Amino acid sequence: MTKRLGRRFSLCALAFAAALAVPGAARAEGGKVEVMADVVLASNNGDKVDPPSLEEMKATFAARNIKFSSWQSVSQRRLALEPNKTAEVPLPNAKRAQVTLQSVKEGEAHLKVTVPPSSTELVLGREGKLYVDGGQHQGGQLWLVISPAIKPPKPPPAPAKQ
Amino acid sequence: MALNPACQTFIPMLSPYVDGELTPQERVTVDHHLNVCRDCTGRVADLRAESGLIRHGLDLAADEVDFRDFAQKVMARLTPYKPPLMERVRISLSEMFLYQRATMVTSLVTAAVVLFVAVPTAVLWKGTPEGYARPQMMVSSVTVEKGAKVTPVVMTTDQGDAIIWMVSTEQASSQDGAQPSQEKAPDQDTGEVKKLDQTKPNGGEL
Repeated sequence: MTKRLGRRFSLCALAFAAALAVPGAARAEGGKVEVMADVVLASNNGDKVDPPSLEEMKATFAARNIKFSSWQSVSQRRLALEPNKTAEVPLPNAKRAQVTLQSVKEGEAHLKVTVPPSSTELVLGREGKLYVDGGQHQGGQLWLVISPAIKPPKPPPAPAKQ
Repeated sequence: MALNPACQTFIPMLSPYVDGELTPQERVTVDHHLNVCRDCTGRVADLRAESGLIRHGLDLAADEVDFRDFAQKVMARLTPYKPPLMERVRISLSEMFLYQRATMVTSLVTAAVVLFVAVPTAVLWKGTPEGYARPQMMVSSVTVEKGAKVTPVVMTTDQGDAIIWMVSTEQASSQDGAQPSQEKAPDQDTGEVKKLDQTKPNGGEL
């Protein structure tokens, strides 16, 4: 009985180690690529920025001389993309955005983002966001925002002033 | 017949004497008495004979009983006792550590190695997620549907951001600053933008 229990104990330890190793192996072999797909309504009706994290988007657009006073998040979802499969993101103006993972080559994910009437092909990166014009809605402009579903890397520390 | 007063003391000790239940000192005392007392010697002889008869009778009775599968029959009549789980675990562990010490120590060392090496490795692993080998996102092409009266304006930033803004061709012709460059104008046949302008364009006010 004790021998059997000892063997069981050893097997449990091995199974535990294997369970720890499996997620890493699964990540290594690849499969799904995750991206964030946000829909944002920008307008000049009011000056509300909701959520406050949209201040970054507001500043990015302002730097390109595209100025809206109000920025509001309409929807936010995490897409798990599989190769050659399309995920849809509905827009409030009845359009349907489509995000397709075309391929993953050497760890780089090639995506196609379609927001009628445009289609954009891009290569995912750890930094950077794609803002696609989603058309008019309620007197404002809809934007589909495709961003990495990973934490952005920390910026390097600023050099000390001499 | 009146008993010898000494015999009254020794008579209760005679049966234990025959059965070998006396202490050595008591046995010596009884032996001394038996050397001088013929009555008690006779009583001892009677007791031995009686004991022999009883033993013989019991042997005869035992011979008549069938003792085959005796242990199995007794065990079958016992109600199996199942101790509580914690008690069984405690007993199992104590037995394992008692009889399988080497196996248990090996197993515990293995478990400790797994805990102190594999777990931190798994938790602290910050490898690149699938599909994110590239440091910055890159837009490779923008196309518009054939016949669409819009022109894509692509604006990129140093941080890898890209803004794809659809400008109505009718509207764009009437607004200054929102006119996309000719390089970005879509091909009339394929609708594909062949080259992306990486310089900072002026998107204009909406």
